[in-house]
Amino acid sequence: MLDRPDDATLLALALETLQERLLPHLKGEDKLTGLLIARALAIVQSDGSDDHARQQSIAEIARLLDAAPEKSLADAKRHLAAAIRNRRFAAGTPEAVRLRDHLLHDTAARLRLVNLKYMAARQRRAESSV
Amino acid sequence: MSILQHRTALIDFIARETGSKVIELEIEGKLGGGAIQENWSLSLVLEGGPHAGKLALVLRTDAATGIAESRSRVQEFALIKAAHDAGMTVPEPLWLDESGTVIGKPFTILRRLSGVAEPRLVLGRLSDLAESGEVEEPGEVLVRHLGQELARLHQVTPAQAPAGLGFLSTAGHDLIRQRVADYRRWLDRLPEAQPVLEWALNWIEDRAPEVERVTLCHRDFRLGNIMIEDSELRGILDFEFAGWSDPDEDLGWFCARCWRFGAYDKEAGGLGSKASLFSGYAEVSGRQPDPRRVRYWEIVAALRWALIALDQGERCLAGGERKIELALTALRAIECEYDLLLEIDDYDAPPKPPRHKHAEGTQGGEN
Repeated sequence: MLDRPDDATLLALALETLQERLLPHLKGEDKLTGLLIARALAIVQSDGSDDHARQQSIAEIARLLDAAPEKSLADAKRHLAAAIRNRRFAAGTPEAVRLRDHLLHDTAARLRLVNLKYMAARQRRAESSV
Repeated sequence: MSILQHRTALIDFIARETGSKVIELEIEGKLGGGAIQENWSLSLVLEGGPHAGKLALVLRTDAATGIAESRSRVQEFALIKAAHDAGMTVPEPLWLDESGTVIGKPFTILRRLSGVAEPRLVLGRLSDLAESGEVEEPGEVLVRHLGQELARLHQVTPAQAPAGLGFLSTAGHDLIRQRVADYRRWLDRLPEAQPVLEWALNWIEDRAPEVERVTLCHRDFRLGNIMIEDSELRGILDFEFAGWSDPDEDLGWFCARCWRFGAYDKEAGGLGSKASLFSGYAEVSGRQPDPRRVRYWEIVAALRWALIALDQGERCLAGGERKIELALTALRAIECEYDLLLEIDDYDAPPKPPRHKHAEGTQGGEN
């Protein structure tokens, strides 16, 4: 583990260097590849090691399943997915509403990390409903 | 291994298939696009036989790794031929090697089309044409044409299927139930559980409309698989997912938000209106698509694209292709999940009262 510079600082510097010194000079396919790398680094930078959000999500899933919290988010999601498939959340019940709220909250949080622009466009709801 | 090393074997193959003398074969290089296939540009000059003269061609073969839903080159060749025979504008399918002995894997050779398929280029060109006034409403004209193209393909039914399509799985009134079962198996193969997709699948199962007709469907009909030159359609590409299905699946896939490439207000593929698409479709098929059924299939499209995106990610994370673009594609599934949650809510919401006249003419408002 590094303290000075720490992981976050090194990552931020790598991203800045790519964006300011390399990307302006790239063209065509290379530019596209450079942008993809910048995007990947930016996603890692936003995500960080947000253990608090992960623990919150585990706790929320435990409440939905009325069970003890799982050790990992992957395990919690696996149990939640199985419960959904087994129709544990009957349509029209408060449990189904809480489930939908959780799914929307969790998805919005992940989308904010990877593509905030998409979310903003989605919320404008430019398209009509038939 | 590159096909450049198999030039002599390719010349022998073409000579055998055509009964012509190969005067020149130039392998011009790999074409862009095609995450699941490799496409190579060929230039050929033949002497004698039915194809004598200069030919611009594409050789299509498998990439290093594929995805679960994709078809083999042999099957794809039969599907393009069926579409071509039905009058759809597609690259003419010429020759097929199913043995894999010529270049080390099966391949097809098709006539190469002019134009571009890359969605941003297509949308940019259409926008330039519209701004310059050179073509009036180029997107609407194109969308109407695309509706006609889909209707031609949808004239092929299991009852009158060409013999070459015998490999296609049958589909009937239980098509959606089968599809839901397939997608659940697909979810089971993924390394991580997907609660939103499970939730959406339950909805898709519960709200399934009656399947009234089954036809040959492209099942990946969208920008990126459509060659366009200026505002003119040059051909429909990529039949690797084609099969028997509800024809509204193609319309829903084309209109799904995930295939509008940022032009979200243009509900028909980011190009134009659903009204133009449906009108073109009805001109050829005689059937006016039901907007609500198409919306149902848009929701199915979001789920299916999420599964494909996750599969693409696994090609990088667990397969042999260490490419950053594949890893980032997996993240597109999150956009689909968000769409699914909102679209399903919209679909289930009671119909909205008609707008007052004074509110009309504004764009981008809340609906």
